[in-house]
Amino acid sequence: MTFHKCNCHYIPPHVLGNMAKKGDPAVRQAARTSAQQAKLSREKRGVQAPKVPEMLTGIAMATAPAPVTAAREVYDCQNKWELRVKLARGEGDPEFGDDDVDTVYGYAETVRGYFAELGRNSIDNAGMNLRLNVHVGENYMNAFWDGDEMAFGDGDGQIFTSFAQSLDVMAHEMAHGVTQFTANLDYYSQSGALNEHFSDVFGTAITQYKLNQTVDDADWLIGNEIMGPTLYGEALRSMKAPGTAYDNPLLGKDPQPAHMKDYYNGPNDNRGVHINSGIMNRAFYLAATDQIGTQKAAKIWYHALQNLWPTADFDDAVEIIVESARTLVGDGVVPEGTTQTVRLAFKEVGLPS
Amino acid sequence: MHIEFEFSGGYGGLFAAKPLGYRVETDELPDEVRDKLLALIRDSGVLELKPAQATGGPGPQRDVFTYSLTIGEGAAAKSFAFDDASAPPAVRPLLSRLRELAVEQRMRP
Ligand SMILES: [Zn+2]
Repeated sequence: MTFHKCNCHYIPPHVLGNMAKKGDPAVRQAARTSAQQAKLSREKRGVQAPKVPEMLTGIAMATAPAPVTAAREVYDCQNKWELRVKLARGEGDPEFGDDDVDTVYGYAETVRGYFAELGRNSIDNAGMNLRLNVHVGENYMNAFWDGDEMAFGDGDGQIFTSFAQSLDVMAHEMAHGVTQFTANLDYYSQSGALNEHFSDVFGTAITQYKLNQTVDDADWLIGNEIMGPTLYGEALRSMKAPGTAYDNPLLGKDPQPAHMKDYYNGPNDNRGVHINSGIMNRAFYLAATDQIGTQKAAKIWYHALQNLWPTADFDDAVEIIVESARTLVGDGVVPEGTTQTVRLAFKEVGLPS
Repeated sequence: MHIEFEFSGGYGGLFAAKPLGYRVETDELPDEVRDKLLALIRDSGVLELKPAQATGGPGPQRDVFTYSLTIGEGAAAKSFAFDDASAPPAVRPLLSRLRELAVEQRMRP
């Protein structure tokens, strides 16, 4: 696959998208992989300067690749607006003595282990190292995935506390990486809302797994752990009741719909990627709480993620998730009746549309 | 100097349906706030940026804040779109300060 790094022939993305959608499984897989590589290569061109000089990349490609181990690399960015400022703790290193560095190091093991149990070797399923940057920027109230690595801000201490102190946040960001290397859902409109949805699913499933929670113990909230004193008691999203996570003078009111009838059709947020994900989130909640349980539901969703494609919309996702449920019933991974439970959960949010 | 700024997004999808805005004439700001802001604008080099040096369309970054920024007067004003991952590093402290000012303004009773 190394040779595909330089993508010289161009096939329009929508053609690749359609090939991935319509073809037989082998063609579908090949087209999807090609579409992902073309997209990544397109995205990388001109947007980000290469982190390794071209000549070095050439040498690395010509010789055997270094062994990869899904090793953790935690960087202290020292409140600069850059990534990878100083390697603070690598795999197997003793405690660094900074709360965010050491917390993130521990959470990364949980998330890595969770995906390993699903049969996945790191973000790219090829053992890529997990690069985690903490203390990014000054009072930065955010966390993100940049296409290669994760970044966590300290928050301002008033509105938000440190984003590094939430397993939910880290699992969400790492799941963006997993999505990039699987369905690679376009970050726009419904495919973008699916991208957000899958990250919320793994953020929640991994948190519940770590805390050993049942669907009844779980709060089904996202972002409540990072609320500072100003917004204490609020959350950023609710999978159980989208649209109810917050209502305050600073953030306004949670705009997430819980049903297709309230679908957001506006231009903001890449046409609602963090907004319309509420509809899919609610369907996951309904499926998980109707006998399946969160962890079995997450297995179905993970199976589906590997069979979706960049331009997939909500209806496509419903079809593939139901198909995945059937496959896993056949394999004895989830119980009889699961297919119908999943179908009903989607029906309750107005899907397929 | 006239500034129009908006931001939204991030992990939280903050202000997703309606970006949080901040408009200001720097002359109307308290001296200390104005001086710091003008210094950040100068250090960012934003006024020397060509549009192509600002964000170049969708990339692989997820959950970044996205920004729109217009600086300057009338026909001479320059407009940019940025996000956290692809903004030139020198511009990031300016975006951070404008974000703070936007939040401060919203919090004021
Ligand atoms: Zn996200």
